[in-house]
Amino acid sequence: MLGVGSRRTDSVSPAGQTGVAAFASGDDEEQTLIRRVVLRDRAAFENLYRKYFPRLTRFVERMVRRPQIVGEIVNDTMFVVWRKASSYNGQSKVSTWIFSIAYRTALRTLGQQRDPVEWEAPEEAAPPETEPERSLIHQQDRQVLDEALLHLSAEHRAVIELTYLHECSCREIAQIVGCPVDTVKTRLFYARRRLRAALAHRMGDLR
Amino acid sequence: MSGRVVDFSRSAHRHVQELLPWYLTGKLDEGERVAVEAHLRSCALCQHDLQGERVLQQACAGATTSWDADVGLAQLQQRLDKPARWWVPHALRWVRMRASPLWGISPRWVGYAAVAQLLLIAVLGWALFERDASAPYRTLGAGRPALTDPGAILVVFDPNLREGELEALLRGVGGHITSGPNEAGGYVLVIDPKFRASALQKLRADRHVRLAEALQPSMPP
Repeated sequence: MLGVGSRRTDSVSPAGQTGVAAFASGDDEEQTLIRRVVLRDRAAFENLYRKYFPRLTRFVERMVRRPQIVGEIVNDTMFVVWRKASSYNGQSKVSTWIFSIAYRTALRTLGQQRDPVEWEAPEEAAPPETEPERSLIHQQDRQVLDEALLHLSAEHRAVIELTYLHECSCREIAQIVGCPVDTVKTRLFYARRRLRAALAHRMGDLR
Repeated sequence: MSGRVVDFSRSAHRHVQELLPWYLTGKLDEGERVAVEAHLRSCALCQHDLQGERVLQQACAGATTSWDADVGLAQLQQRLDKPARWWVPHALRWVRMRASPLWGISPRWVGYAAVAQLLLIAVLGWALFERDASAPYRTLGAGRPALTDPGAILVVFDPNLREGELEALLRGVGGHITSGPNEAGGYVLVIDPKFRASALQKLRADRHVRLAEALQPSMPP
């Protein structure tokens, strides 16, 4: 889900697997912040900005693969939130609304870019696990994954990111990217095949 | 009937495979979750795929990045303080998006150049409008006003008149032809009204002129 706070923690999925952070949505609190932003409350906007900054930067950097424009896209997104807060109608989660703005802003900015993708793995904070070998395996997987993601379109990368890291439902993703639910499923199915092929050394012969 | 056999078990298998990521993150509704679990109990391939999904999710889950929210917020706050001029960034963005791939120069400079060009066009357009307002447009074929000119004279020349002789004649009376020939071979000559009488005398005295008549009555002295 997108209603994730800026902290990270492990959670247990229905299948019993420890996965990426999943917090209480906190959507009521975010809706209150949006209402205050409509009234031009700077403190509420700063609160919302800090709340979304880690998630938006992560989403945008994985989607566009150009670190030099990540900050611009995130700030363009939050500028739209500031200007258009009154247009939020409460029919979707605040996070769905903000991420849909980020998605469109990223695609529009990418359309203006002429430079080829130049991706360097971002400087990462120290991983929480203490077991060096396990940490090394994850780091290697991420490098392989980053290379494989380069061969996908920005639209496919967005669906991957929203599903696995932000843990959005299929319906939420459809709202964010503005396409039917079945299209989201098809995009993810295709992207998974590409990524799993890249990670085949960890999955056996899943091609 | 097409006779095509629909493989329901295959489509159900594909459907479950599509749903596995959301099953893993707990984002399926109750009906979907029950259907996936029922299928998983009998499908070894989907059980295997579920393990693969876990590896993929773990690989996607890392990478906390080092972007600084304070820096970003400070930059954005400068924009929040500025008055809204919504059309400027949109216009620049529109121009940059279309022009830069063609010209291969810096997108930022293309935008500035385009805005400067628009301003120049606006200034030139305004200047042209001002000039046109004081100078009515008249085509070459617009002969009517010449006929009503107080200095207009209808002249019929000798058909054997040469070009050089015609030029000398016109120069001598200080006039110029504005229309003609008509069906009778007559030309309209326009002369300064102050010299019309003397011009008529000269024309009538010239051996190459068969007819010379003023088209407007004489002006009162």
